[in-house]
Amino acid sequence: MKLDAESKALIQLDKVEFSYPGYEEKALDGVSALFFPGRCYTIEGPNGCGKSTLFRILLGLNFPDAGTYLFDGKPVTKAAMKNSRFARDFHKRIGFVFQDSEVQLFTQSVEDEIAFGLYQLHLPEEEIREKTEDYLKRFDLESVRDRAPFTLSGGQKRRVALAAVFAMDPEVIVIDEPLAGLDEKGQRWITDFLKNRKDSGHLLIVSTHNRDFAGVIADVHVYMAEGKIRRIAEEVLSCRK
Amino acid sequence: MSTKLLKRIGKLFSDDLRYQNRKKEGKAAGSLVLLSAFLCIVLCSLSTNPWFVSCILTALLLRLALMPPEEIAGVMKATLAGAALAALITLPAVFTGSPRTLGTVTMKTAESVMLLAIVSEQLGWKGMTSAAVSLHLPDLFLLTLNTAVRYLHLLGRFAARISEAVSLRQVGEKNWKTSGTGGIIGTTFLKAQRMADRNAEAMACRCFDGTYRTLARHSFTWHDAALLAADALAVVLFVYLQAIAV
Repeated sequence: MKLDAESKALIQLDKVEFSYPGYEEKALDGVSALFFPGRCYTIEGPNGCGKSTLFRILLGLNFPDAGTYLFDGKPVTKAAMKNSRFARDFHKRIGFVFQDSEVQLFTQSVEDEIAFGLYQLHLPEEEIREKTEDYLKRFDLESVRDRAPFTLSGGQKRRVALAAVFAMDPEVIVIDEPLAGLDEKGQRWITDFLKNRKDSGHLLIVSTHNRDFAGVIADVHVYMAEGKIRRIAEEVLSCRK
Repeated sequence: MSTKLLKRIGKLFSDDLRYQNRKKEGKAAGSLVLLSAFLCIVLCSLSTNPWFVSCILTALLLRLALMPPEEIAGVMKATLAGAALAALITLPAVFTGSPRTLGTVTMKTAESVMLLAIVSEQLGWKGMTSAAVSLHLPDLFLLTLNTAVRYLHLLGRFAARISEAVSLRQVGEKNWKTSGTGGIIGTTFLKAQRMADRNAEAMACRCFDGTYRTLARHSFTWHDAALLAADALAVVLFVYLQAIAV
């Protein structure tokens, strides 16, 4: 039964441990979890509990000191990520929206920001233009398409960051604190948007401190403390409806 | 260096309006503007006939007169500063028996600076990058250029905000000028390092493999035709006036 579940999981973490260089304490201590497609997982817990470290491991930016991380059955290790083809295929399938959107926006205009990832996928020029137009419309960014992303408001930056990642159509989307720094309207927009994406079959992994938000979008709540997963709670879908 | 000066420098770099108000695409192609500017500067440098430089300066002043007042002010500031510096440097030539050098070098400097300032005002950051793409400059060069501009803005804004925070806490008799400045520079440096790391990670997460392109597309307009005609006229004028000078 367990093996069957594991075979369906897109992401498998097994007793993952990680410490930052120069620090004795473990940022992640024996973390095990399975993440399934088409579901939304919220990672909750106090500051410093290891949420961001978990995300860095999931994204292949850091690697476990002990334990294993399998993505679609393949181990994600430092050696594997040195293979540029593997790294490219991996990053193509997992997208990340940073808490501070500003650091992930680096092109000269909003439209170029959306097109950036599409150029990396080496899509035909016409397809890139079509997709860019499509995502500018979907995210209501047409009026600011020529503006430099760093001159936009917080909510607009978040929309650009989301559009840039979603345009690449990754199977897994990891979002760090999606509501941070947003006003009520922006928060509502992000919440509705993520609910829609979940319904369209993406695997969403979202870190949040906001219980109400987690209650609205999560299928599974993962509670972390001191680098460990303390509790995994599944929402009873019928109750939520 | 005081925190006030740092705050001014920070605000200078973080001036959003220069980027926000630029909606000048759709005129002459950026690459053509850059090449024309390069041609003009080379011709002026090679010219031994002061009339040629005067003609080009007149044409530039005419172009300048068609620009909005705030842009004229920006161009003139840069031009006058460049010309004054050139005049200062070549001033000794007057006393060493070559007084014409002062006029020639100052005029050529003014022409070059004015031309570049007009191009800068006309194209803006995005136009420059699009022009560089059209000219097939390496992706790495474009990425470096864009990253540098972006970081000047972001770190300028960051430094300006810290300077404001420090100045709000500058109460009492303690002299904060030196310690405050050191703190601001140090913090800005650390912030830059952190941002660069995050930036690299964000790029890796989006499969960055060295490809850096822009979506800008330009079709041939009458502005392009006019610019090409002006270039041709400049070359003809250069050849004619050089022949007269000889």
